[in-house]
Amino acid sequence: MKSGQARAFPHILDSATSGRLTFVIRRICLVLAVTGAALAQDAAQPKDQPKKEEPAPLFSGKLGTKSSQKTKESATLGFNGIDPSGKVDQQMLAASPGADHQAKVKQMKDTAPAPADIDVFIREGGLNKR
Amino acid sequence: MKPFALAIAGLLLVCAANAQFGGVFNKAKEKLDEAQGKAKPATDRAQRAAETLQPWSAKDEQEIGEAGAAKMIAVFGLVEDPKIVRYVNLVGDTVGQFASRQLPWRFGILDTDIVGAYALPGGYIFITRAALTGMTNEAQLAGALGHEITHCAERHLEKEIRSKKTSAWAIEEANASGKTGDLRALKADAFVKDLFNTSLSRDKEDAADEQGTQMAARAGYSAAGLMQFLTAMRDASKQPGNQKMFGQLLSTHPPFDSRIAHLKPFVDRAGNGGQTLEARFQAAMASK
Repeated sequence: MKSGQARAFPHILDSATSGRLTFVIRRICLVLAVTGAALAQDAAQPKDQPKKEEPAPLFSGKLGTKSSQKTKESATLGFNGIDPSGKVDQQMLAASPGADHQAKVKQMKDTAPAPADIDVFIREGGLNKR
Repeated sequence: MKPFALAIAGLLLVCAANAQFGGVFNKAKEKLDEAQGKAKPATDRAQRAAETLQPWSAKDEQEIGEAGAAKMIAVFGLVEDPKIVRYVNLVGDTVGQFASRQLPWRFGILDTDIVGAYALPGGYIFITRAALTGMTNEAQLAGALGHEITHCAERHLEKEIRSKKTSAWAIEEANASGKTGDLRALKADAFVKDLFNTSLSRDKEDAADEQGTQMAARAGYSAAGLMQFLTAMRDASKQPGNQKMFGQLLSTHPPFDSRIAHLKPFVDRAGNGGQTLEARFQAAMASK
């Protein structure tokens, strides 16, 4: 019924107006078809996706934020005391440990995981227990 | 008169002899005293050197390890993120179950941009922050820790030090300079210096790579972990500007290429099975 609406116009409008209206409707349909096709093509093309956060290159990522080194210099400059060839400066190796460093060693001993925790870790990872 | 003359003559003779040879006798006595004085420190030094050449007892290992660990922390500092530290300890303990000698394993993360890992006596193992940032999965960490656990369980550096007598030399030096500190502290000091200045023999490094890989595989990890990490280090070490990062490691270890070539047959034999646990590793490393 709808497709016959333009032809039905002569019953209401004169033939010249009816013909013009039919022409305009056809043009509108054409424009809509072209616009739809263009939109479909645009949707098919890859769009500029929002940039994902790139993983840091190996050996240069951040790891944790807390350091036992109290001075800003030693906590932020990991190459402090390293010569250009990468060897540790001998003066740096002469550093004498103090009571706080001994305490850190004790902390290493005290915070070692319990055997039960190791068992859980092994199980969760699908690993083997001796 | 005759006996009196004889007595006078005898007295003169003794006086003359004393004048002639007394200095010699006195000098000889002084020399003897001096020699006796020197003999005691020399005996002490020999005793100390002999002690250095004996394998360290379990108590020695623990005490030297503790003193050495304190020194490492004094030099570099520790990463103190509890979640990451706990994770590294759990991975290390999982691999450590399969070590040839059981020790109370303790793992710490040194806060430095140098790529490396270090084994001290008594089960103290350190890995650096930079080394961890170069890994992509748990199997790689397991392989690297397995390498260090092998050095520790097999007393590799201790044997090397004894064979080269470097510690004995350090102790002699300390004695000569009048330092009379604790012998274990001296040994720990010498040990840490040797960690950074001494190359282990090639067979010990190869053994650590092989056994570390085998231990990780027995624990259920992919046997390719350590080899993958060595490959990543090799590639990164070729990048300009990375000399500082890898210089220390390369100064005490064989070149990456030869280590990879040595490990490849072991990895190939082990096959492709085993866990890599990439997601668990990434989740642990992302914690702050």
